[in-house]
Amino acid sequence: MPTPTGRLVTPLGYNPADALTPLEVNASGYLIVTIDPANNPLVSAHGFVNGAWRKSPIPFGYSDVLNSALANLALAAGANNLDSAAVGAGLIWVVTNVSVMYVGTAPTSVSVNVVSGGATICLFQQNAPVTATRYDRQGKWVLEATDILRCTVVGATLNDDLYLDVHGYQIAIEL
Amino acid sequence: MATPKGNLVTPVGFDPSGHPLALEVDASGYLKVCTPAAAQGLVGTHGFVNAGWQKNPINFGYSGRLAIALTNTDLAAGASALSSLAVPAGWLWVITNLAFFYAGSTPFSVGVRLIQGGLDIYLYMQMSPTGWMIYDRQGWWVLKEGDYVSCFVNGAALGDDLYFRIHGFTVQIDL
Repeated sequence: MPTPTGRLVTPLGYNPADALTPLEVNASGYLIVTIDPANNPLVSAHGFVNGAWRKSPIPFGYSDVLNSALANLALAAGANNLDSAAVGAGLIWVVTNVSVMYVGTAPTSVSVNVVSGGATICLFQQNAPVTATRYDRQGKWVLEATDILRCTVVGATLNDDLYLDVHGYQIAIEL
Repeated sequence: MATPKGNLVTPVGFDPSGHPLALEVDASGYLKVCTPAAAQGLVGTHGFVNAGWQKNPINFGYSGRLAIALTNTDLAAGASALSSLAVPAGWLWVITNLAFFYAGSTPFSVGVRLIQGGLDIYLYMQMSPTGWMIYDRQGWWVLKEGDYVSCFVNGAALGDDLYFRIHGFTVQIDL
């Protein structure tokens, strides 16, 4: 009996040689256990894309909320960074809302950035922000382990205040 | 019998200790139930990431619509807030739209924040909002048990009105 190729099969288990053994239906209509020579994709574990069954990634599902309220109430004069904690091992952060507020003398600019694998990616920047006014963005920013969110102010006045609020959700990626 | 590593296996249930049980095929071709190795993922419950099968988080699926309309047409002078109920146990809220408007004299500011795990997370704020103008945001805000969302006003005039609208969906996460 031919073995389906490139089709989904229903797996049953593995034989002593670690070969996948799915169910097939023989010519008489009986179910038989066969060895799958083609390493066919498995039901519920693969998705169809570009004409073939591919391994499904983990979905952007929920493992926990993400929230962080950061503040520096004694800025140094000039440039300052206000950083989130780094994403922990085994976690993904999906940030969906960021807001920033500066209180004091208008600086040159404030910006929100993702620092990811050595690269700093600017999400948005506000020049000459009005004191005590929030600047916000909504989106879907994905951060991996060791990535951080960084709020940067340029041209701060000594002892002015900077606030960064972060919201989103976390995905645990455990074995 | 060899045990495959890092492969998906087909779950059939859990033993009395809560460990998953999977199907294997022995050398005679018989199916037997075994305990999968720790590194094995289960069909339908794992996704492929970083070259391995990882547990899927729960999906952001639908359990019900979330539609909340909050109104205060007799504000106290100064600072006030309109708050939703807290998310009950066994539920997630996914808010996808927030909107407020103010009627009366012009207050100092109106904004929206989440109260999560004891933190105030400021989402957005409008300074000196124009009367009857809707200030809205679209996004993806995830709240878990005990969290709630609040619209706050600073500098309200006695007897003015504040309207706050929340829309999204709920996810039930029962055991």
